[in-house]
Amino acid sequence: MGFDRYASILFIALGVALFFYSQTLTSSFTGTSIGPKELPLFLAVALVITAVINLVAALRVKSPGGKKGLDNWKFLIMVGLLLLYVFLLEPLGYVISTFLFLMAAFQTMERGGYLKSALIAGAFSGGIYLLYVKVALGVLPGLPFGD
Amino acid sequence: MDALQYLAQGLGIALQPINILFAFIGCLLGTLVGVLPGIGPISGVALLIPVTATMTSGLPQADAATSSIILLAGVYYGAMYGGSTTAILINTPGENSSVCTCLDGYQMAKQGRAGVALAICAIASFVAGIIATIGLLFMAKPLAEVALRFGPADQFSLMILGLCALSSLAGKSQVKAFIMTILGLILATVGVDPISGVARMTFGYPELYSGIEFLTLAVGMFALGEVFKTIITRDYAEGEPIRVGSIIPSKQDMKDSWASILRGSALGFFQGLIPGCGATLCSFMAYTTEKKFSKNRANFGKGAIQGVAAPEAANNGAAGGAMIPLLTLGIPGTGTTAVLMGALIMFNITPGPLLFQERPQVVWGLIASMIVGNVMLLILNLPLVKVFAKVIETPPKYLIPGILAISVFGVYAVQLSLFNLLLMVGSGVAAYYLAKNDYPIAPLVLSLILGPMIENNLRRAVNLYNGDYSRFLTEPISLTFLVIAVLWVAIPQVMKLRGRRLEEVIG
Repeated sequence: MGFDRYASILFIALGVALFFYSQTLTSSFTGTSIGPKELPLFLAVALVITAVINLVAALRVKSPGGKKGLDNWKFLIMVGLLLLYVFLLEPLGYVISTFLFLMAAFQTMERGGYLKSALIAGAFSGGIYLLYVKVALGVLPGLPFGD
Repeated sequence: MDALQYLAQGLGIALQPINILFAFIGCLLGTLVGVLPGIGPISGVALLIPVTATMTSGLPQADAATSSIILLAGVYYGAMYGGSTTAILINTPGENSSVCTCLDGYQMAKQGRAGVALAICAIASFVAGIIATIGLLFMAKPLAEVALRFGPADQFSLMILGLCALSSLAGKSQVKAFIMTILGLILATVGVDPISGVARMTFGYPELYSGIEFLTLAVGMFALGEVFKTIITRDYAEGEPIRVGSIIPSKQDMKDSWASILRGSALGFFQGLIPGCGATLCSFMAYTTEKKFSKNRANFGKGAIQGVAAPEAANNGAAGGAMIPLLTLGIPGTGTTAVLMGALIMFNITPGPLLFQERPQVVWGLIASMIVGNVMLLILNLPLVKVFAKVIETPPKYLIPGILAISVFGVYAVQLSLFNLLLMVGSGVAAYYLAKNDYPIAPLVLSLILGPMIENNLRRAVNLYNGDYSRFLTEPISLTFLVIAVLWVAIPQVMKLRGRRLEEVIG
């Protein structure tokens, strides 16, 4: 399968990079014991070996053709929305950013039912904020225009 | 009677009103999460760790740890039970270990006996849970005492055994499982090395100095990974749930199933003791064993009550059995116990033999709360079965964004950092693609948890033996563990090779 080949090459690259990186770490201070360098070094070698075995196995298998009906678009939009939500969380505050994220995500899943979506999104974001910040005295980003 | 005394002490803790409340909330949340399509026990427990942490944040630290663990154990059991509910009502197993429950459970439901099937599940879970707890009660302390005598080399080898056991049985390809294990160990080395103070792989990000947060990775890989899979494959649990009907099993039902429940519980418990065996394998074994012993073999697959009772009992017995290596040796045997162990460490409790000496109130409180939790589940599940059946109908339109929002809330509330949120999203995407291509996630998370301990014991051992590595092979206990580890990995490979050769000879 294509994924196995790319993933194995990526793992090999990662292992090689880790190998050279761990050379820069200090070795043990005393002669006999293991320092911070040895385990990463060993793991780098182990990763390269297993990834090479995996690559060889992947090259032997022919990649099967044909794709099933997958919802890649919805997935990509959802990940995009999630990233946008993460970046807006602190500037806009928890309640507003969560409300916007949920509204957008509900509509991505299925169009329509705006009023119901708004009610659920509002209840969720407001409810969690009230419960967590006002009752449990936790910390979440507040409203942008001051509390 | 030592064990009974400890149990009494534990019950004193578990029966405090606040802890009963937490056990109740845990079982309720766990069952809800287990019933919700698209979230299994691992992701459920991962998702609820931050919620637990915030719920118990007002308590003093020692109490908070006990209460949180009681809550999480409730979630664990609840989620296991919840998975069977969907298996019976809509023929969709909530997790792998309830695949067997589908076979006869759904058939029973089609015959209008869904309520009875659910009740038998609840009873089987209860009996298995109690049997496992009794086993835990008598075995935990002696085992912990033996484990206390382990030196650093023995402990190192034991952890290697734990990793090998989980990796060799997880997923289709052993090589892939090992790659994931090594990746987890590599991730575990990120951060400031506690012995020398050297920063490893932090690349100037202060967020990485304390290492990669287990919680972030667990929520990302298990909860988000599964949600992404649901979105991409449109794997929404569709189909009308079947009406529940009467939930009271008849005398004949009980007579038919009691022996199966006992056999399943015992089988599950002993398999749960072995790391890596997992609930899935033993529920299958219990099912096939029942089928073999049964007089009316033809009935299996057509709604035989024994076919529901045995795997359910086995799967819950295994859940209890898996707590023994976790609590006494610090070796989690399944993905879910690995997540539980991560949660324990988050609350400053390191599972292992020392736990029984240093924090007896936590351990015995937890063990006793397993009994309380099982009683709670029985009381909760039978009357609420119809409510849980309604939960299955939550439209995915609202459910999936809701899970995403809870994940963001949970990780942000505990870590208060955008960096961790980005790491969570990234690991979720990675986990989806990895899991889709048969790279198992559980070994990665397990080795992320065990990594620091493995390194610590390795260094202590090498220091103690003045750099003499051969001591790992000459210390008898350490050698035993390493030999078992090698066999664990090698035997399936040899059997595979033999099978292939046999095929070549025949074909």
